[in-house]
Amino acid sequence: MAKFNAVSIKPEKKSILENLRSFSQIVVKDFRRNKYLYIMVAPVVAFYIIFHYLPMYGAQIAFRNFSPSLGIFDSPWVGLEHVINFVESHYFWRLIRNGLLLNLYEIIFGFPAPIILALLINELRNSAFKRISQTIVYLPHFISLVVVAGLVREFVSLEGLINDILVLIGMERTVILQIPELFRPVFITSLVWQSMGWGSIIFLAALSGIDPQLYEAATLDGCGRFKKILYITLPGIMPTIVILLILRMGSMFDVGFERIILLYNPLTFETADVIGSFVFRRGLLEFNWSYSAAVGLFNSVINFAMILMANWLSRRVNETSLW
Amino acid sequence: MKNNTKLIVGVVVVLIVVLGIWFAVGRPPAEEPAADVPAPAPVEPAEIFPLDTDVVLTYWLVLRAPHVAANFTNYAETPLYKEVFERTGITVEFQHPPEGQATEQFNLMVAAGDLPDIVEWGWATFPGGPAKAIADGLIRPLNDIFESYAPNVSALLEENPQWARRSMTDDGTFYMFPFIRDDRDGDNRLMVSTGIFLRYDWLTALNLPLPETYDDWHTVLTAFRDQKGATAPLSHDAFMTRDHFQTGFGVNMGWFLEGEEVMFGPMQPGFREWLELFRDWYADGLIDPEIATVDRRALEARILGGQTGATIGAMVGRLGFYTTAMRETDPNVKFMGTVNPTKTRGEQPLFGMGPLSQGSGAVGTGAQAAITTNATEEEVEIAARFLDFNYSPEGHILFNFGIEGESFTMVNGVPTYTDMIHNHPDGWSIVEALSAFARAPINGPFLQSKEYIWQYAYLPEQRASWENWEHSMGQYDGQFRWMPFITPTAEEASEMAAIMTQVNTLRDETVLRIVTGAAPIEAWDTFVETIKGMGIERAIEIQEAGVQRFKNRP
Amino acid sequence: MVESRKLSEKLIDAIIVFLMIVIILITIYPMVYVLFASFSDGTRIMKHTGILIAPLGFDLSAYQAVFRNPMILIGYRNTAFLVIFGSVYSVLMTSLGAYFLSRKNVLWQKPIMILIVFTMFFGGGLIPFFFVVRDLNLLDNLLALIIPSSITTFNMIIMRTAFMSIPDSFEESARIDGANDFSILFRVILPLSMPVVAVMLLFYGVGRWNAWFHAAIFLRTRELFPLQLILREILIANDLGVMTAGSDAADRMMLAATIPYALIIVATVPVLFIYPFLQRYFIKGVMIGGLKG
Repeated sequence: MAKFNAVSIKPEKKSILENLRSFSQIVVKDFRRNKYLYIMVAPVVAFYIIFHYLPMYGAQIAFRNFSPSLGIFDSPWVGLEHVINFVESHYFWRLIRNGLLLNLYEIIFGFPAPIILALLINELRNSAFKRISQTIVYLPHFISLVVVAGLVREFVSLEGLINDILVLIGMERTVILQIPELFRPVFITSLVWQSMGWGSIIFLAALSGIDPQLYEAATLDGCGRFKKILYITLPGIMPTIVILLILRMGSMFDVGFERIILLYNPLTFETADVIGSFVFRRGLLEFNWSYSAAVGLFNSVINFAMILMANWLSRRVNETSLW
Repeated sequence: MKNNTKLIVGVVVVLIVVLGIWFAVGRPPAEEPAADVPAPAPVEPAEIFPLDTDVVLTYWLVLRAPHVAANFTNYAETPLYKEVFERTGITVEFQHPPEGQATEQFNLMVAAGDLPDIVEWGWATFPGGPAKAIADGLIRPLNDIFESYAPNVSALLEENPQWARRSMTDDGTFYMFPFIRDDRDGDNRLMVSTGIFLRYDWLTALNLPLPETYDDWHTVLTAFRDQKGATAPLSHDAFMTRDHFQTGFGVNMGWFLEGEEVMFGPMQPGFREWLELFRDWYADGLIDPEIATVDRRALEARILGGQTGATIGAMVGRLGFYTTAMRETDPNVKFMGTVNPTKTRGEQPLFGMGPLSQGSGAVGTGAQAAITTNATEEEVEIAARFLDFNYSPEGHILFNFGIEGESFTMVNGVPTYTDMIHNHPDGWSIVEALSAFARAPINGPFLQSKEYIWQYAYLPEQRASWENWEHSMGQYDGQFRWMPFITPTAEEASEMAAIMTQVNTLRDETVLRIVTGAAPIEAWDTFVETIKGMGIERAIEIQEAGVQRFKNRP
Repeated sequence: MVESRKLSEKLIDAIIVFLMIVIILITIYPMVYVLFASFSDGTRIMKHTGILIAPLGFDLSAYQAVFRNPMILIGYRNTAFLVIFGSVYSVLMTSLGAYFLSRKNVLWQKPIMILIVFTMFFGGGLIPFFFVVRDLNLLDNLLALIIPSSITTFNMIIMRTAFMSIPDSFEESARIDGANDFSILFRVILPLSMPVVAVMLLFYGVGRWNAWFHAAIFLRTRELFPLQLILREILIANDLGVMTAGSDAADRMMLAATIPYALIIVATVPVLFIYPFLQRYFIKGVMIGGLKG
């Protein structure tokens, strides 16, 4: 945030040449001061140019009817046809809504979970127990999605554990995965279950960067556990939390469609079908590069807009932001 | 405000630098189109093998799992192809994409212009059709090449125009060496392999005959439920893709022909009737309550665990599999296939088990070997001869039965598999053993022999099931009802995909919601109205255009 | 007063431990299931529904099927190379970028940051990417699995955040001593950021360990295949979704049920040994050393 002088005097308007000259002076000064920095970042920039920007010309296949045999530049140009086709499709709003809601629920339930887990682990006294817990909780991350989905389906099947519990509390056995209203809870739960351990690693690392002297001082001041968490721990990892949240906003319209495909069925399309799964089904009928590219581009544009917004908001509210 | 301007200027400057570098490095060069090859001069067919040549061909195909890939990493290692190399004198370098990544690698290959001499792929389903693959300069038209270098396959196609028609593009160009299931003389041994099957031992214990009508089915499933404790008497994992119970109402889940017209099954009144029937069955607990979520593993668990007594599947892939698995603990288990049910007994079902019936599909649509434009003139000749070998009498035996004395012996003039196949020394299953010596159980550029199937699917009930299923093929009025395999143009394909993704989504939702009782039968009426808005009539038009073009093939 | 505080603290400690135990049980169960299933008899697994409290029968055939494949050892070797060199290289590159992005008063920093973040959203797709790698002559070369994926922007942003939270005083005092940016990064910032470096090594390491897609499109020579690609092949090769016939070698067919589990164990166990090594960097007080030092 800019610091304002108490007295602001409007400077005279300089001519363009004068502006250019002073700008180039700034550039030169900056190079002199930071030349090692620019040398250091050169390979990084080169990496992004070569592997990210050079291939970017391929993004135009969203605006063409791409045929691998013709190549990108010789495939006919169709402009926004695919995007319009997609937006006008019967299910467009449903897909957007489902994707958005799933993401929203995931942020509400899935974003805090690793943080809370990290805090919990952090509070453990026994260091052996602490280290063991850290290793165990991230194990689900390594189990392939197919197997996890299989386990989930077993749990919620008619004869599965969840239904057994339902019977215990006096309810009837239900085919959970066939009920659209229950899809989101099942999906989010399986997602959080699988990812919270791995997600907590970043926070555990951030926690270890907090100065222990702060805690010692707090104890001397008579602070209890909760006060410490509130006034030392959370602020200490707040930059990490904010950045991760901003980044998360940038994938608001992405939902891992693999997990959805493994758990959904036509009865739950109403709540489960998202852009990715719909495009996947279309891909089974016709493998169309351009259509998927167009949909992907549509997705990306919205996501990028979201992250711009989130970053701007964050800049207004606190010190941490991406830029 | 000044900060924002600076920022924007900064971004623009960096962008300019980036673009500058980009332009300096330049766009990747356009892929060069392959040079045109003039039509080769005709050559007299003669006893030409083994050839004396140094040419090494490159041949790309998917190594099928579990058949071959379980034991080999390259086709050249198999006894089959070692033998082929020896007999033809031609060496071939096989290239296989990693399992599961075939489509990606294929597309990258095509985009990079990096095609080997022979590519075995489902060219029939290439976007825009095989005609486009030829027009785009990927694969060669084969009519002249067949004439000059492929006497065996040429003769075969000439004698059997029904096969020839399905091996060409709409304008009569051959584009690949076809996989053909021998269905001559009305012998359908190779054409039928899937159908409904049930626990025959249960039927016997319950004193019930194989069900033929829907009423029979009601009796059988109820008995399964009440007396055999089946909690999911009828079940399947891909319920939406199966037509066997619908054909008795004159409909299916997709497309069929009614004379000259193309019909969309789910729109017909018969479909509504079928939905009501299944809705009632579901409510009675005769259909798996979890029918929408059952996957292959869950179905296996139900069959093996005795919760399901009836399902749909292939006689080898499922029926054989379940039988072997279950007989380990219960030797009395027996499955048997039955006809597609009809409303009245003795009625001839309107459809068969699928597009393989009624002559629609003797020619396979996957694994078609095409010669690419990257092959030089010399390589074209060698490649054509190499592939044509498979259709010669010698090649026919080799590709179906393997090597005499090793994988088969002649018994009364019929090639009969030996213990190498049935009882492999290293414990390989029959699939794996046979796939090392032949391509009969898979597919490929050759004519599949009728003599192989009963040695492969050797359980007596497999044959009996087949007979029942064949009965379901019923040529009613001698009229073809299944859609032939048509090749839409690229634009048509895109339009179809756009329309049908939505239509199929609604279809699947509607069917399952009505059957499970989540929606009333009137939802079907809504469905029919809605798909009209989605463009189903345009889809029908496209299908009819494709059928017309098919009929007009030379 | 002191007494009751101790008691309430102990109570909360107990609740926390209880919660952790519940969480541990919930998160370890899938792995336990996978472990038991991998040692089970295939037919029984196929019939089984519900939880597993022990292997069903004891059957090593899934593991035999996996290790019978001669490519397994080669896969391990290739992946080891990729993990070690790839992670170190990635962490190096990422540190350079994160350092640059975390400094103050750098004119071109914001534009570069925006353009980097932009690449998280927009890209050219598989085919042009493939062409770039091909034109660099990296096809069929293990380097194609390291260089084109050297930096994950997400990771770099995390590292940047960590670098930014180091007080300026460290950098300032180093500059006063005459250090340039290279020394500051390697002698001051990185040592103070060991936790995040450990996390980066873990993230990149695991990423390389699990990677197979780039290998599938860039590699042709089988001897270069990383472990996961080979494991995927085994999985698909033994997937009996297609055809099997009744035969005497029935047990081979049951492999399909247990192989996925064995593959997960084979693929995961080595990784489980990495984390404990890195955990030691997650101790508090690393900064204190820096301050006093």
